[in-house]
Amino acid sequence: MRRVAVTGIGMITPLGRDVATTWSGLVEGRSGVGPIRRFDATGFPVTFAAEVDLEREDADEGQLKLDLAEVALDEALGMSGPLPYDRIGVCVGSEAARPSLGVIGRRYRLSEVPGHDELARAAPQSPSLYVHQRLGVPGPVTTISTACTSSSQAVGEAVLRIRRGEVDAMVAGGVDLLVNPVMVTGFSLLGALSTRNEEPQRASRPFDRGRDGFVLGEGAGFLVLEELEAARSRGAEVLGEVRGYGCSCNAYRITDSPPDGRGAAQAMALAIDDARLHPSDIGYVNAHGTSTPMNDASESRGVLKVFGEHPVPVSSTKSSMGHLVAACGAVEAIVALLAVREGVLPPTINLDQPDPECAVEHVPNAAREVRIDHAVTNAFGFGGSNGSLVMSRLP
Amino acid sequence: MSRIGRIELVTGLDEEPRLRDVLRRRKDRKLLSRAAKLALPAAARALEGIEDPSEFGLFVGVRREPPDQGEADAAIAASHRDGRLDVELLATAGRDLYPPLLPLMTLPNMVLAHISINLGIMGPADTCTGGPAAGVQALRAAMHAVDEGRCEAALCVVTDSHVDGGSRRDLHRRGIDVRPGEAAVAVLVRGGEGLIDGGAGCGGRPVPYAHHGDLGWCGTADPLVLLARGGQRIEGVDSGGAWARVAVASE
Repeated sequence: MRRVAVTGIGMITPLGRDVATTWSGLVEGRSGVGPIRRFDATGFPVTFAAEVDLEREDADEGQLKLDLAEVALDEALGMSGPLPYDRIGVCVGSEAARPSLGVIGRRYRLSEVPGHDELARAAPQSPSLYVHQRLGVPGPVTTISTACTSSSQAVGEAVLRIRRGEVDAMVAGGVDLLVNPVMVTGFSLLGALSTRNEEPQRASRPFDRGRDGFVLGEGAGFLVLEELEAARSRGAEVLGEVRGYGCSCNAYRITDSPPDGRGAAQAMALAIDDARLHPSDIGYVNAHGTSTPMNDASESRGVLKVFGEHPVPVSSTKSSMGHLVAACGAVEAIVALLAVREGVLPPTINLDQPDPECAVEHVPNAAREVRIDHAVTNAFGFGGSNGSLVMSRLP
Repeated sequence: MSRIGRIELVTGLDEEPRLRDVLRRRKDRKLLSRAAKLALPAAARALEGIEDPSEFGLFVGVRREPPDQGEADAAIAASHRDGRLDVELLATAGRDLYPPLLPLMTLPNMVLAHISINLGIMGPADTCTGGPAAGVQALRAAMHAVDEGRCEAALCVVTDSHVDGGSRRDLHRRGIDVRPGEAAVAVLVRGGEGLIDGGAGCGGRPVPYAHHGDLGWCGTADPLVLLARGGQRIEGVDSGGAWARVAVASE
């Protein structure tokens, strides 16, 4: 079977505008969460988020998403170097850009309708097409929209295309930009967001007894994936391997995770099996770990189901970065790869009192140095979509 | 090679899709977008006679989030001050009128979620978005999942609806002068000894996709509408140079 190497990574997150800054922030246990700066959130039930630093804010939301994608893509392509292939595909996890309050207001008040270009920029496939245009090489272009699982599945589907020999390389990733008044209103009405307004940096606390919801985040992450032998032949630096991919549906409820963690367990087990590994080979799980009461308990049971006899260290880097929604799968796949490569497991910060319902082996509050060969990274979405990837060291 | 059988086409132009026999909880009806209302009965019909589809794959193609149907108009109206939208009012009076379930209705993977929940499908799954290409990509993903042994069978459901005001407006703004339509197509893909033997190979290349008879513009569903209406040639519309190759058989 053709193996899939990672030769480029790039990201922009609430912790920083590149991989190095984000990684050092995670390892040092910093928080990228703070009071909302993009609009006056006084009076909203939630007044904080994990925002990225935008270089401009005067464009429509679709363009701002492309700006984020550009930052992460530039870094990933800069790392991989020129790709000497005739067939390069693109697979991006993304959803439609949500119009700003000003745009909604004009539409309502003036019956102003969006123009052709704005519609095109706001479409979910807009980031995929942007990446495709940047590459300038023929290849399949796919957009995956499975809420918080989107970019995990985008990476997984990209791996499958390389394995099949449909392409020589893929650029895969995800992008999302959600911190605006309407989305804060919508998610808070669903009861999904933490309301710990008095101490924002301690609000995202996956697996902690005091967790009360997720922290809305945003960002982008991209990986350059190549067939392993081709990458080595061209002398590329191989950062690691995407060795396994699994996905599943919960078939349970729209917003709730099944208490027994079955869908999560199925995705993890499929990914480990796809990687031709045993659970005991896995040295770290980068959990979806949203900090919602239901997700963390369900995911923990899923982890115990898969790794019960072989306890594995688990952490959620959403404690530092917040929830990057459609971008989280790709960003956290990069984090899992770095954990393998650097031999450091980033911690779950704010984990003061582990919830007995989340009885996994935590990495609380401080990074842990340990050499590992394989890590699992999870992403689970509203509606019951689950995706897991195995990120591995290459000899 | 995987085989395709039980191609189900549901259109909602003449009648409201029957959901009573499909929905596990009737109150979930209010969470269904128009595209989901079309997709659910199509998916159920494609699975008729199958006792346990829990390990089947599920691959869905949709256009994007359903457009605004005015659900939030009351909230927006209440958030105006001096002719402008006011963030402070949105946080108070507007918030009280904002439909809390709206995000759940409009996420693109909700079609997949409703089918999974109501029909009990738990296997490999994803949702492709982005116009007609997404329909073909979902079918390709389903066929690969079966061929690669990731599931014994996979349901591909592609759905789109353009009959609402917002979609008509967007078509017009994009310069697409067609009669808006809507459709959902469900295709059951099985490996080995499938439901239907035989079939003709169909190749595709990235060309503008064909017209589609009298159903009107069904967007993401159009390529599979062609397939459902008699094994006609399906043109690959995977943007960027991908191709589709499917074995077609009609009941």
